[in-house]
Amino acid sequence: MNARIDRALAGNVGGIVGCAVLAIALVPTLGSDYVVAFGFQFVTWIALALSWSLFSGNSGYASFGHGVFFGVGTYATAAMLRHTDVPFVVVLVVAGVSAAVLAVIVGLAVFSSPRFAGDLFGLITLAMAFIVITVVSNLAFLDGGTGVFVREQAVGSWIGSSTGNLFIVGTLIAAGTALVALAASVSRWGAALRSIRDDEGVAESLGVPTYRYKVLTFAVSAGLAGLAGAPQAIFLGYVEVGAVFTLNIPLLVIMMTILGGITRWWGPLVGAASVVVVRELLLDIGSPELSQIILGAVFVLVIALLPHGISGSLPRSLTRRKAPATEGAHR
Amino acid sequence: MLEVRDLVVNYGEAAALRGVDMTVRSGETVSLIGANGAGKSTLVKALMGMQPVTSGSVLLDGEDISRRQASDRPKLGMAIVPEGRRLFKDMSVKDNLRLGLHDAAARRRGADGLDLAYDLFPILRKRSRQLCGTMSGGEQQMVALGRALVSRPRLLILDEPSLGLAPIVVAQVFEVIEAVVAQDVTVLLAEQNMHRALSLSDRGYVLADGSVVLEGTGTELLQSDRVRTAYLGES
Repeated sequence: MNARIDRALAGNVGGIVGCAVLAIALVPTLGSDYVVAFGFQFVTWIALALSWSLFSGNSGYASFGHGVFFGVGTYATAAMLRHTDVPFVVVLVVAGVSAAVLAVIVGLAVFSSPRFAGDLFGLITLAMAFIVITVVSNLAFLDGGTGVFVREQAVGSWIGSSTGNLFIVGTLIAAGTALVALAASVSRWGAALRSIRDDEGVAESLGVPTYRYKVLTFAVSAGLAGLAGAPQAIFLGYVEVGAVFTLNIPLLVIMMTILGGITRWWGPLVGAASVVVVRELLLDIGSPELSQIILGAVFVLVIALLPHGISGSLPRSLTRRKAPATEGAHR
Repeated sequence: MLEVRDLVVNYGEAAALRGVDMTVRSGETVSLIGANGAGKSTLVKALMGMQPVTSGSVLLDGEDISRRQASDRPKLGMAIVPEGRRLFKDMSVKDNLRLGLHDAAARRRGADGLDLAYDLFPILRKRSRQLCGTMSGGEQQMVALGRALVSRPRLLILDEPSLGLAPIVVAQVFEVIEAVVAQDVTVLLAEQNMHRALSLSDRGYVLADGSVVLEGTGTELLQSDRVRTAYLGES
């Protein structure tokens, strides 16, 4: 039994690492900047969907704050590039930690009272977005209301020299996020999170310190979103609050997760890939309004037909090998 | 082992428990009976730290645990089969049972792991990958019992284990409870089905309107007319 679990787990880890290595190896052959740029957005959305689901999918606390954490990572990067000369690795760490710290502060407050459970949690994370936007707009060293040009700051560095390098960083972040999501699906930590989703009171009586778990996982989820936001600052070249803190991010991420399903760790990954590809195909229509409507209609249709999302609707035989791993591997 | 002293629980203005005293000695099986709304569930929740206590104390081996977190209970050797079973419905049988061993102290005691539950209820081994939400009430009750027992608790609290089950399933559940009682586990059983509860208990307490109105051995209470009147709220 244990051997089977270990083999399935090793297969998953190998799959994640293999895909990342393959993607990175393919960069020089991709040629056109358009394809590389698409690839960069593709991996960024995968990282965002997986990191959102890590907390919200597992615990059942739907957060509308994922765009804020992504934006904080982007702005932290912009500020670091503007005011310091530290290597990009340090910038990345600061971007992730900034978002995680914000999540810890919000989480410690919000989760301290059962009154904020459920729908109210979503509203509070939404309110957090407006507060952070106001603060960022008014702090001169972050933005000051004019937006920030990042492109010139990154000129001459490895990360600023090509979109291919951004793609490599984005792929590594997405792969790292996938490994964390996999870890959550097989570990005692993940099982405890899912028990919170089903019945917090009973989880508590079984010895799950729900407060600590919620705050910590919210922070990890936010930190990963902050990481994903870092290369985005350079990719955009010009960062402004309206574009970075858009409500589109949490809405799309929620859509991706529901579409992909949360019964398997890779559900949000499949959901993100599907949405990004469909959106790209819909660009050919030439009407952004029409493509939004089509995307919305497809979404409603999938929810109606596949209540457990794409990953939860595959025949059991296709996923049997992975099933023991998703049920947790501690014994 | 467990001593409840003058325990008061208020829900806002309304009093749910009005100074309850109760003792459960090590190795005993004690029933907590009473009509719906008598305060059984409130008392059980207060013991488990799931309900804030207004005043009074809950002593476990002499230590007041009434203000300790609910999540400390496995560490203290306590486990509960909650009212309505409250399984994690989206999870498999196996994952539900595993959560019974989430706590490190629970894992140290429950060295047999899930086999303890599987040996007690062989059907659960076969169904280990089934989602609990898709099981019958009786099977769910087995999972709930298994989830509490895998940690080999010193004190097991059962809250209305027969509620909402078909009579034949109730009989099965009580067979299992009898098997548990026969081991060296201390059991506190809150139950509306007083005949079944009292007949397998050493002692019992009758609750009415938030107070203990009667206590005695199982046989005493079974033969007492006052139990029936207390039950009907005529005391």
